[in-house]
Formats: sequence, C-alpha cells, structure tokens
Amino acid sequence: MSEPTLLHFLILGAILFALGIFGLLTRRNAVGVLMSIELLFNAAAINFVAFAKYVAPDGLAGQVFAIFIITVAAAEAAVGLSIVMLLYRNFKGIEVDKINFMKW
Amino acid sequence: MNLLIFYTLAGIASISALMVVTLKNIFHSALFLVLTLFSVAGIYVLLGAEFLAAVQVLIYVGAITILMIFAIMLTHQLYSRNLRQVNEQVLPAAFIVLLFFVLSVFTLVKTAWPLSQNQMPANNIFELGRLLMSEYVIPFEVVSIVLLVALIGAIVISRRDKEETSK
Amino acid sequence: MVNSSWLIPLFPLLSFIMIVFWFSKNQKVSSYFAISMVLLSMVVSFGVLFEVFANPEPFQLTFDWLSWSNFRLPIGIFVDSLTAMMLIVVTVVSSLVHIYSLGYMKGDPRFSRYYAYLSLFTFSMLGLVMAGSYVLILVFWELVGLTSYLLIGFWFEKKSAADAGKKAFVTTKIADLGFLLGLVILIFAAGTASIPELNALIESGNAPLTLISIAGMLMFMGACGKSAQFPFHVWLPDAMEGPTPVSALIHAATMVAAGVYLTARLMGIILVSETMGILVASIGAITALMAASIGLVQNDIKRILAYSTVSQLGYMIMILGLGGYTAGAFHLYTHAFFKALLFLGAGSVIHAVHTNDIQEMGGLRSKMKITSLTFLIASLSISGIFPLSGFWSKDEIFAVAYQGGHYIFLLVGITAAFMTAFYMFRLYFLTFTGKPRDQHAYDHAHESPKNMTVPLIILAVLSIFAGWWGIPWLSHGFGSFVKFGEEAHHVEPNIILMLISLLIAGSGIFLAYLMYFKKSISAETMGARFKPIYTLLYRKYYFDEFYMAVIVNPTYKFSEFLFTFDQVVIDGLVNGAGKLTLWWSWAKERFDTLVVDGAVNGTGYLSLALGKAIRRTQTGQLQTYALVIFIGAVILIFMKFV
Repeated sequence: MSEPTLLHFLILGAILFALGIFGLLTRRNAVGVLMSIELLFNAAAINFVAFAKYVAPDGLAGQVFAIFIITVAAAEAAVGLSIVMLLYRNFKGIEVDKINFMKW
Repeated sequence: MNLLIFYTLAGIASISALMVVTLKNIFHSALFLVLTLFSVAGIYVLLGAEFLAAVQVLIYVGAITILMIFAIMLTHQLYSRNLRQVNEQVLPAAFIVLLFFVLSVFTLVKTAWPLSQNQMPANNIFELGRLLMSEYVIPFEVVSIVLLVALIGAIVISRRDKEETSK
Repeated sequence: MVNSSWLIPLFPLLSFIMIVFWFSKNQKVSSYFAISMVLLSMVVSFGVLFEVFANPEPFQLTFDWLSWSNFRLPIGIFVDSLTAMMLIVVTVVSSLVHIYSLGYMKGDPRFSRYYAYLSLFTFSMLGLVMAGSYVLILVFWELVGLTSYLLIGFWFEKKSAADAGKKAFVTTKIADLGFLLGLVILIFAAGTASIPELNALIESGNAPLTLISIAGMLMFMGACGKSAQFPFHVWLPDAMEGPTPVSALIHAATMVAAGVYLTARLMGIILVSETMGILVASIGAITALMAASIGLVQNDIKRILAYSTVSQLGYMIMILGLGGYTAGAFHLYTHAFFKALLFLGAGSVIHAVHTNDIQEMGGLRSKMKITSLTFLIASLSISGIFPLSGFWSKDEIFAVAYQGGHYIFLLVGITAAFMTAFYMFRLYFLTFTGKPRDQHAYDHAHESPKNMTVPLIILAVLSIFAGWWGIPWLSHGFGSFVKFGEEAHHVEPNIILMLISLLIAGSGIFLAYLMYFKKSISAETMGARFKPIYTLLYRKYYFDEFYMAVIVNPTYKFSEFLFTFDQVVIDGLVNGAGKLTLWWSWAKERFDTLVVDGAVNGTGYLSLALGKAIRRTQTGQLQTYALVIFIGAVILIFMKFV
C-alpha cells in the first residue's frame, strides 16, 4: 500500500492536537500559548480536509470549513496578540502563571 | 510513493510541533511553528487541496506567524532566556495528554469510517469558489464580520488610554 | 356587799394605774393613794365577810369567756367562806405593810414604783382568791409571780437581788408547768375548770377519777412551786434579798399562801384520791421537817424566818393532804399574822442596826422596846404556847392527824414543833438579849418610827386573839365557817395532845434558853461535836449545789452547744451553699467558655479551614482551569469506553 489512508491523516491530526493541548497547558509565555492554539487549529483543519477527501468528496465541505478555520484563526490571533500587548504594557511581563489576579 | 511523502511531511510536522511546545527560546518556537505550518500545507497538497495549501501558506505563515513574531519581539524581556518556559503542571498535563492520545488513537482505529469511493472534483479552486458563494454564503459573510470585529477589537484593546499618555 | 365584791381587787389596780401614769413623780401622793385604796378594799372585805357569815351560800358571778359547740369555758368570781377569810387576811396584812413601808422605804429613790408594785401585787392576790375558775386562778397566779419577781429584785443594782428574782421566777415557772398540764388534763377529763362545778361533778360520782387525780397531782406541783415546798423550796430563802416589808407581805403571809389556797380548793380531788392525799401529805411533812432543821443553824435573821415560813407551809400542806381542810385554812390564817409580825419586826431591827446577821446583834431589848416585845409575842405564838393563836391552830393540826390515825405525820409535826420553838427562841435570845456583840451597831440602834411600830402592835394583838376564833369548844367557831362540804368541821378537843404539844414547845424554848441565854450549854461545842450534821444543815442539804450541777449547768452547756451548732453547722451550711453556688458559677463559666464558645468558634474555624483548603483551586491561572477542563473531557471520553 503506497497510499496514505484516512487513518494516517487522522492520527497525524491527533498527534498535532495532543501536542497543541500539551503546549496550551504548559507554556508560560502567552505567545507560546497562542502558538499552541494555532497547532490545535491546524490539527482540526487536517482532520476536516482528510474527511473531505475520504469520506465526503462531493461537497468539499471539509475544505470550505478549513478555510473558515484559517480565517477565524487569523482573527483570534489578532485579538489575542493585542491582549498580550496590553498585558505586557500593564504588567511588564507575559508569563501566564503570573497573571493570576482572578485568584482568591 | 505518496506514503513516503506523507511520512516525511508528517514527521517534520510532528517534530516541529514538538519543538514549538517545548523550546525554551520562544523565538525558536515561532520559527518551528513556521516549519510546522509549511508541513501542514504540504499535507494539504497531498490531500488534494491545493488552494487550501496556498491559503495556508499565505495567511498562516505569511500573516499570523509574522504577527506572532512581532508580538514576541515587542514583549521580549532581557532576562527571559534564563526563565523557565514550561510551568509546574507539566507532568499531569503530559500524562493526561498521553492518555488522551491513546484514547483518540484507539477510537480512530476502532471506528469503521464510512469511506466513500467517490472522487473529489477536479477543479478545486472553482469548486471552492462556487460553494462559498452559494451554499456557504452565510458563513462566509459572518466570517467577514468576525474579521471586522476582530480588527476593531484589536485596535480598541491595544489603544493607549488618555491617563497613560499623561504619565 | 358581796354583790359588789368584784370591786375589791379593782381598788389596788386603780392605785397601780394611777401611780404608774400620773403620780410617779410625787412620792407622798403615790403612797397615800395606795394606802387609801388598800384600806378601802379592806373595808369592803369586812363587809363581804359579814355577809358570808349570814348567808353561807357561795356567791358567783360568771360569764362565758370561750364557748363553742360542746366546750364552754366560763370565768368569774366565786366567793365562799374560804374566799372571805382570805380576803381579810390579804387586805389586813397588805394595809399594814403599806403603812409600815412609809417608814422602812423612806428615802428610797424608787419609792413610788415600790408602791405601784405593792398595789399590783395586792390586786393580783385578791383576784386569785376570788377566782371561780382554775383558768382564772392561773392568770392571777402568773401575775402574782410577776410582781414577786419585780419586788424581790427591787434593788436590782445588787447582783444577788437580781439573781434572786430570776431564781424565784424560774423555779416557780418550772413548777407552773405542772399546773398548766394538770389544768389541761382537768378540762379534758372533767369538761370544766370551774371550782364549784368540778366539786359537784366529783360528788355525783361521774368524774373519771384516775385522770382527775393525775390532774390534781400535777396542779399540786404548781402549788409546791408557789409555796416553796420540797423540792421547789430553793427560791424562798434567796428571795430575802427583797425589802423586808415585801418579805412580810408576799413571802410570809400571802403569795406563799396561794399554794396552800390552791391545794385547799383541790380538796375535792384529795378526798377521793388516796394517792394524791398521800403525795400531798408526804411532801408537806418532808418540807416541814427539812426546813425546820435548816433553820436551826442559820445566822441571817431573815433566812431563819424564811425557813420557818417554808416549814409552817409544810404543816399546812401536810394537814390538807390528810383531809384537814379547816385545819389547814385555820393555820394559814393565824400564820399570816404572826409571820408578818416576825418579818416586820426583823425589818425594824435591820433598820436599826443595818445588818442581818444575828451573831452581830444582842441586847437590843433595852434599845427597841416595842419591837422586842411584839417579836416575843410572835415567837410565842409560832411556837404554839397557850393561849396565843398559834397554839390553837397547831393543835388543830395535831388533833386532825391523831383523829385520822396518821401517827407518823403526827410525830413529824411534833418534832418540827420542837425545832420551831428552839430556832425561834435562839433567834430571840441572840438578837434581843445578852451582851451586844457589835458595840458600834448597838450604840446607833434606836426604835423605829411610829408608822413602823404601830403595825407591829396591831399584828401582835392579832397574833394573840385572832386564833381564838378557832377554839375547839366554840360551837360556831372557825370550823363551822370554813369547811368543806355541808357538815361543820368538828374535832374533839384532845387535852392530852394539847399538853404534849405544850411540853414539846416548852422544852424547845428551854433548850434555847440554856444555850443562848444562860449559856450553860455551849453552842460552839455542840456545833463542833456534831460537825457533819451541822455542816449539812448549814449548807441547806446542798440543794442549791445539786440543782446547779444537775439542772442549771447542763442547761448552760446545752445552750453553748446549740450556739456552736448554729455557728458551725447552720452557718456552715449557709456559707457552704454560698460556696457551692460560687463554684457552680465558675464551672458553668468554664463550660461556657470551653464547650459552647469552643463549638461556636470551632464552627467558624472549620469554615475558615475549609475555605482555605478549597480556595486553592482558584488559582487564577488560566492553564490550571484548562487542565481541569481537559481532564474532565478525557474522563468523559474514557467513560464512553469503559
């Protein structure tokens, strides 16, 4: 078999997703967290596209969705980074675990 | 043949992703993110979504990653090189993530995917454009608004207040 | 006159009230008013006497004091022959004492009060002899006791006088317990306390005899107290601390006669109860003999006379116990006059030489002629020498005893008569004859003023002639006047007995003559030879010491014990209760602090601790929340497969 099957792509997606989650939970730098989130997005997009090819090739719905994902990722990155800027401006550091003013 | 390409690209993507989430130097992380995104674009090509690959490179790599690098540079601290980059909940996170991964793989393998024998439409771009304007026109518009809102929001959030300028 | 006899006690009562509330500042008015009141009573008493002579039916005036469904307690006056005789005795002697006191008590700072007390006493005594119910007698009985106490302790600055008053009151009070108990039993048993009613009940034979005789004996116990019979005689000699006129009136002629009077009234019970009769007669006999024996060796002039009184009262009680109602009353009547005379005479002597001790007197015959002569007459009378009053009354007693076959009592009486004669003449010889032993006192001695000597003379006349009323050959003599029951008392005049008694009395006088006038027998050697007996008699058979050890001291000890008990136990309990309350408060406070506050504070502390613990989930860190959410998601997935 020389063709990658659906499963391959899905597992790749899972790997990326897992790594993204790991990064989300562990990165101290806020930008690092955002980058992990990008990973999550990408994993999801891979899954969509893979399904588009192997499960529902007629509608290309997966690809359309992947476009939307990318768009939303962009928007989110913009807003997220502006928040990070604001944080940096006010607290002179962007370690996420130092931003704990909502604690008791 | 494709499989080989796939494994290469998947390996690069995975390893780069791993680098993204573990490297101490955030700048290096960003660079590895670029590499990951590039690999993902390659995966898209493999999946027959050429337009999407192009869009990925353009938007993700070209815009978002640049934005992140800008953010990194603007929020960079001198001492951050010695600072720990991963927080204290590494171990439980790693454990959980591993568990999750195992479960996911298990699920994926066990599931009987309803594979379709159909082929994708040949002209990718054309088809995508058509779909966007007909079936998915509403999401398309909404996403536009989202972008608009994000734009405004980003500006509003990071605007300096009058009191701050007087300091 | 007898209808208004109830006035008789009221005159002296009026005197008392007037003196206390109005006249007390004015000595002259007080004394004269008192004297006039008692003289008034005397006059009315004579009127009563003559009326009772004419009409022997007893006069009564009663009203119901208490009455409910089946119980009546009437009180009132009852005037019969005995009452009439007593009224004469009391008022005559009281009047003479009132007059005598003008001289004797002259200059005393509490002169008016003295007359007030005398009036009160006279009122009480008159009320007593006129009372028709034993309950009323009890009322006046107590009054008489009160005034006696007041008068004995008249000079209360002297400790011995105050003590004597107390002793008299306490001793008679103990005896009065018997009176009260007897009275209660009497009312319970016979349903009545009235004298005539009770006598009628006994005569009809319906009375519960045992109970009545017990009541009678208990009431007799009260009489023993007042009349200083054995064993209650101890107060009378000490009572001599009072002024001598008081001794004459109260402790010779009248109050001590109250016991005899009561016993006479109880004659109804005595006649039907052999036990009571023997009890009464025995006590009287013992007392007569014992007191006479003590009087043989005393040196205080008043003490000798006191013991003589006790002894003579013993005679009266004894003969009453043997049923001799008339004899007892007769002796009471004559004794009052010569004993009062003896005491007033002694008072005259004391007034002159300022001492009571006969060993310091002597030869006063030449200095105090009237006193000496009247004293001699009284001594002869009491010794029972013909034809003076005392002879007739004493002889009556011997005759009744002999006629009744009570030879032992007769012997006792004769022995006591011997002793009486002896000690009276010992007293007379040592005081009035021989060489004066205290020259200083002798030089200052003088006869007393007229207000003192005139009563002496009057009493002397009475001591000679008053007793002639009871000469046994008279057909309407004393015996037909004062009698118990319908029959006139008549005892055969026994010439032999009269001669024997004269002989005994004469030998007593002769012995005294030898020892104290001629000095042929030495008193000292006699005393030394019979030393143990002498000491026993001199110390009055150690009665006072005995009572002190057996009754008085234990009572003191008991009081002390009660006091300590109160201090230690009662106060201990009270303080202990206080301490307990304090401790309990402390315990409650501890409990409150530890347990209650502990619980309350503990709850708060628990909340805080719990909060502190749970708070730690709110780290404020985004990634923590993300982790937790993710863990939740994984678990959900996991569960899908498990």
